[in-house]
Amino acid sequence: MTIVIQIIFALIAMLILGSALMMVLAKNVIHSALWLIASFFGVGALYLLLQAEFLAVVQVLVYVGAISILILFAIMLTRAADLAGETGRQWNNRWWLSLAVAGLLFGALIVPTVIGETWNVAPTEVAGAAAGQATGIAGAAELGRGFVYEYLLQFQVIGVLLLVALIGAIVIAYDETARRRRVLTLAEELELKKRQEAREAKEAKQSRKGKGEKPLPAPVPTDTLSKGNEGNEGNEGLVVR
Amino acid sequence: MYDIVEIVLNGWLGLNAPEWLLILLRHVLVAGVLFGVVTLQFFFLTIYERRAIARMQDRVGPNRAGPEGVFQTVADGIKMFTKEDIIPDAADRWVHLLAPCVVVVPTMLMFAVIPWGPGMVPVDMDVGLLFFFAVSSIAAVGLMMAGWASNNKFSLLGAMRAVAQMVSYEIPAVLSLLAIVMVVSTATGSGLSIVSIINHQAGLIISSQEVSSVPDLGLGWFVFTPVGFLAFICFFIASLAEAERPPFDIPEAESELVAGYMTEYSGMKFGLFYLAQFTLSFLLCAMTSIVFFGGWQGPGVSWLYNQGVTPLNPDGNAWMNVAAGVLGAFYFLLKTYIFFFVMVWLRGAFPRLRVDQLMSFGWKFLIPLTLVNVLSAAIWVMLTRWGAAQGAGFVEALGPANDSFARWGLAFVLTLAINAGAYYLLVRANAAPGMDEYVRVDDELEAVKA
Amino acid sequence: MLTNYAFIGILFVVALSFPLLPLIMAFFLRPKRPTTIKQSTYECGLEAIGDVHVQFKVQYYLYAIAFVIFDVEVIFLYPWAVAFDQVGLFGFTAAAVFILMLFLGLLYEWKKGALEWI
Repeated sequence: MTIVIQIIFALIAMLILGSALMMVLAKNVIHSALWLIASFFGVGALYLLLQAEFLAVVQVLVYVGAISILILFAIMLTRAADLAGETGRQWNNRWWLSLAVAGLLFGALIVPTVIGETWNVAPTEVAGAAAGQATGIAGAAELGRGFVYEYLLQFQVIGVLLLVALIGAIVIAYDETARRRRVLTLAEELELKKRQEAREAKEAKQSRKGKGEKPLPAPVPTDTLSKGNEGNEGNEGLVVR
Repeated sequence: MYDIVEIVLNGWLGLNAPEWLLILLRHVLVAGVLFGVVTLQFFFLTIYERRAIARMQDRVGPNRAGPEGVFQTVADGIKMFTKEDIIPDAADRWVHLLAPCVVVVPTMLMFAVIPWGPGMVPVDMDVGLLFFFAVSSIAAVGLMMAGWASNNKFSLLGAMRAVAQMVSYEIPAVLSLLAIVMVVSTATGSGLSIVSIINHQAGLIISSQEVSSVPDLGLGWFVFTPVGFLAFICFFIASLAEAERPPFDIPEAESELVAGYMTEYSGMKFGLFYLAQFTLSFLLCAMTSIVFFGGWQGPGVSWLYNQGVTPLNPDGNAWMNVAAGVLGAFYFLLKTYIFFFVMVWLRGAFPRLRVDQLMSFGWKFLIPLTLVNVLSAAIWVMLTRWGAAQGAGFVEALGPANDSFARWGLAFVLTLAINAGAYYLLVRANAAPGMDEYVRVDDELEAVKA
Repeated sequence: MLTNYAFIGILFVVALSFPLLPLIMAFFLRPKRPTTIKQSTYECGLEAIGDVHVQFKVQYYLYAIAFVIFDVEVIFLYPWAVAFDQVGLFGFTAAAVFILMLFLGLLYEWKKGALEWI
């Protein structure tokens, strides 16, 4: 049975490493992203082989299902001109530096294993766990107990971190001037336009009374129907109100 | 399912193979059966939907191929096989080919955790519920691949919309199940396992009350509690959006986007997208009936199953297992097809939503509502099941845990009040603002721009 | 326990054959008569103008990042829900604070108008 598991492990590891390599080597940035997703999926399969099924499922749910979508959307957010140069390789002038850093990190992981360092793999007991349970933190229930007792501070810090990430994304990426109100129906648009004209006429009347001269009327946009198009292309032509 | 396969292999065929071979054979057999089941479901559901929607639109629907048109899907399949496969020159050939596979494979894989009857589950994972949703979220990557590889504006827009919609509605779906997981795991210890969710819905309508004198009717469905009812509504709406069923079929709105991400697909590849959509609809209906309507639970199933071969009762009657399985599968499929009919019904009854309506409904209505529902679930569990051991000794003044109608009634009324209040507040917060509000927003935006 | 996962592996192989078998069968059955017009990009009968890969709105990205954050939140809440009975009232309070923080984030986004589809 062990030999079968080792063969499966080797296959999954080859999938992970191969797709990671292809991710670096692919010329097209979308292909890179797709290889990266394949690599994420392989890591999920590896967790399943280690019987950490909760982690495996979370790996697939968060990385394959969510982070990859974020990456793909981020690529779609780049300008078309940047994507047009998608034939170039991902070399840059300091490729040797990144190679050195990657090599160092790999060495830091592999050398202690080679010289016989035993990693701290003994199951740690969760404080406050039910009596007589000395299992490692692998199942969902143990994780839940851990969040509330042993790692309460970390749990809450993660909450703050997520909140900060959400607010930060809005502050950085959200352009308030691009905001528009809800797309209205034609009748609503006409009603709105009528009200605005009435108000402007009233204001003009008042200021004429006060100063005795006629101010320039504010330009009223004629085309107030904005279409719900997603691409920014041609957005300038639309009236953004 | 394994019980039956075990009996067939060991008892009837008398195989004396080593154990690993038996396990392997069992797995391959079950996987093969699932393959056939998925294909049959697809054939049945297509004709089911087409006939039902035809009745709603005052026409007959396909009725020529075979009796009452049952072989229409077969004819369509033959047409798909013999259609030319057109790949645009501008397309990315490999990604274009891989995209339908990436969409179809997860839907097939999701069947691994669906129980069909008592003891008839391919694999009972401890995290089965999350497995289901994790695997279903892979399909979004396939849609994105399809849209990008086609190199077509309609495709890319459709894919972006489809993915944005899928991810937006995944959160309310998962959050509404969180409430159920809380209730189940206090009773069984592993609320993420789909089998324990079904087992928890045995008994009477009042699922948290254990009344020993009444026989097990298999009617302790979650939908009868206020928490479960709200979760059911939210989950079903979210699954409509996840499966891109009308009125949430914006990604393929043919009046705007031709066919969305499927625009450049033809022949069998198009057929695969179609297959994935129907299979996903079936799976989500099945999940609704499992989590909120007890899956195979129904009057008589557990009585039959207890007569058969079970781990507790190794020398029972194997035919009782088969009978329980057939009855359970009948209940399960009946509930699932009723939900599928509701999906078709909604398609016949409602026009398509707009993108902004869809997005704000998901983020501003469903997500806050399901978050409140999680709170209600906590209160429900606290009032019905907790005692001094959980640091909630004050509720014991009303009566002992699990055995007090006063506590159960209080929990019912309180959670109903919380959920109804949250619904009312959210409806008010989401109500369309009056004209004055639009004028105000316009002025504000002018000020921001100036 | 590993035999359970073996089933998922086997089902994965069967699931792979599910789309591949029809595609291979269709490869032998279907006609292949490509023409330039047929292979051109579909654009309602007109010539396709401009690049497909336009710059998309930032709104998509905001939804995606909000989705990732809420997804992670739900993932953290699931273990808590499974252990809900064991962590008691204290655990409920801890998780309530956690949920409240994310709810504030959602409210901020709502009030800021970032949830509007533009």
